[in-house]
Amino acid sequence: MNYFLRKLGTSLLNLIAVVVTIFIVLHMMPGDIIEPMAREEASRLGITYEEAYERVADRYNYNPQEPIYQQLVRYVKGLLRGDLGTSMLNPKNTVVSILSVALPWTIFVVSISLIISFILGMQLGALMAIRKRGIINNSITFYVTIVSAIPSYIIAIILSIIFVYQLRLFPKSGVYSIDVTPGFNMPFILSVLHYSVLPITTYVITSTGGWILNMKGSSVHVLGSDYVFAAQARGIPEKIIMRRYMKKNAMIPMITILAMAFGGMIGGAPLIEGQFQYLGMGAYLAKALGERDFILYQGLLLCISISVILANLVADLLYSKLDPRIRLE
Amino acid sequence: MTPKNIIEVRDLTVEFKKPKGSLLAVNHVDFDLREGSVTALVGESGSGKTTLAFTMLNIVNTTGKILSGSVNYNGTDVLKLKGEQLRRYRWKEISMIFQSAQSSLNPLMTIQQHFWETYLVHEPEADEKKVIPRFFRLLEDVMLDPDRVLKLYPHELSGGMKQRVMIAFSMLLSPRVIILDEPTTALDVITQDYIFSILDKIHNETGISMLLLTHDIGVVAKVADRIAVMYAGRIVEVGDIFTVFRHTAHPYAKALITTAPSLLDTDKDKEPIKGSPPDLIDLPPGCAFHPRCPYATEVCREKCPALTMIGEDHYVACHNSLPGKGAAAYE
Repeated sequence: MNYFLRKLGTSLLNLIAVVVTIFIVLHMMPGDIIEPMAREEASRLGITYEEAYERVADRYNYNPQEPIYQQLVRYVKGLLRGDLGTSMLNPKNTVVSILSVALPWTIFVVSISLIISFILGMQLGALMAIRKRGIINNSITFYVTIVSAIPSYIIAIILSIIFVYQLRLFPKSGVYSIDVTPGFNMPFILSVLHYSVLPITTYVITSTGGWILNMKGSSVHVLGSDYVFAAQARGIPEKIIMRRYMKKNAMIPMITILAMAFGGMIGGAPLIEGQFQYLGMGAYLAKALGERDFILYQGLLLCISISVILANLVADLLYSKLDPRIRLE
Repeated sequence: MTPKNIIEVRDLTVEFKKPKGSLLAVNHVDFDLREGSVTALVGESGSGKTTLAFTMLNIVNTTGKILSGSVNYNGTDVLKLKGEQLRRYRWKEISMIFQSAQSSLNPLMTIQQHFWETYLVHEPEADEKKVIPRFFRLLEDVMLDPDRVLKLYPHELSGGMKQRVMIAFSMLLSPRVIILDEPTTALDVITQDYIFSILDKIHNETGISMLLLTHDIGVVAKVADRIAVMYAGRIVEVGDIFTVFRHTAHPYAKALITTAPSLLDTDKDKEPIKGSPPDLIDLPPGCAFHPRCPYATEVCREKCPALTMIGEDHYVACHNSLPGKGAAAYE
């Protein structure tokens, strides 16, 4: 069977497994969230508790008193209609509308951060592998050690203390200034960039270290391989060996990690987005969790899982493009 | 009337530092490679064959250090070559087929990309269209279908095909010497035979000098015209193949040759070489072979024998190799 179709099939199976798992795990959490709302509704509208319960359950398309398989059927039917439910604490907002607001910002910040830290990591990691000793190597090792020991939200706090509160260079919260009109115009784009500088910087500072070490390890491994030695014996200049032999081979596993990291980061980093009040997936995730907005939480998780599955699919396809050894399968 | 040497190794010592101590992989070795000959360098794993061969390309591994000596190729000391000069010397003058020929190719490049890359870095003015016929000829010489093979990636070739590609590759720049490090180790006997017939053909047609590193005495007898036996970093016997086979003088060489399996006699009377190869970090004093040598005498335990001429084009490093004594076989 076609490689692409087979991979697509696997992804679909993954998706089904994820939907069911998220659903079951979340429904195993104790407590009936509909109950307090039904009580409130019953006393407010003067109807019986049972009637109120029915109405609330219908509104959220979720009835914890039904047997779990019936709930699952109800949930999947909703999914197929593209209905992820409604935020419990803010019934005016459907989960889909929240996602459509939050997802683009997170994708924007995450992609730029990943591109920057990936490129930096590849270059510095390769450099470290080539120069085994020396100032560059020592200072990078020092940087990576420090940064990997500090949690990302601490870095977010440090950056906001310096650049937001002391130097007042960047805004405290939000994704763009209220003075600009969204659309394809210069002031809006500049504002968006301005507001994203600190979250991106935080991501880059915290994730570059990992890329450097990964790439260094991979490069050292490739440098020790027979074909690099053989290329030296053929009188191939070092520059070509580094580029065409070491970097290219060392980067193949990195590309897979890149796609997977992208999927993983769609969840945003709730603490980073939270610190800058940057309204992406992470910020909403933190909010949903804190306020026990169970439906929203379920929707966000599903969206993140889909991103991870998609990213894995892309990684698989990319991998087969980059490495001729995978191509034929 | 001595034949010309294309490579002359003089007093070469290569040291490897290990956590336990340092070892001399090549220990004050003198070695000549005759122009146009096929010389076999025979010895156990760890006897220093590969290290000696690497010095001829000046490509000794970073942990190895050349302590003394020179490797003269055509009047230049290869060990003194640096940077661009060294780069241009490699493959153009001497090429090598590594023991790990199976993994000597970049998995992300096709055979044609490999050939062209190497050609281009040595002949920057070259035009790819004009040299492709040359790639074709080289691959045809090793009985491969160039049309198909040039487009393939290394993993799409079988072991024997890869080995033949490497042979064609080693001839790419028409070097004057090819070093073959166990060229058939990972291959079955039929493919081995096939590879050697190809090498033989190339040698006959081009007169190229070959240095064959192996531990397979049978192969040596078939293809080589000179043999050098290495033990614990030293050359212990060297000479013309007929002389050495007929009048083997060093007890170790003798043991190597007589233990080689043969179809003509039984294995019953074959005596294995007793003991195990020496620990290179802690070599026995005197002759390194003396603990395993049936002819060892007092002097072997004290003094390391020097390589001495005992016949025409026949050199041995053994205290007991003079005619009439011990293993010596000149009647």
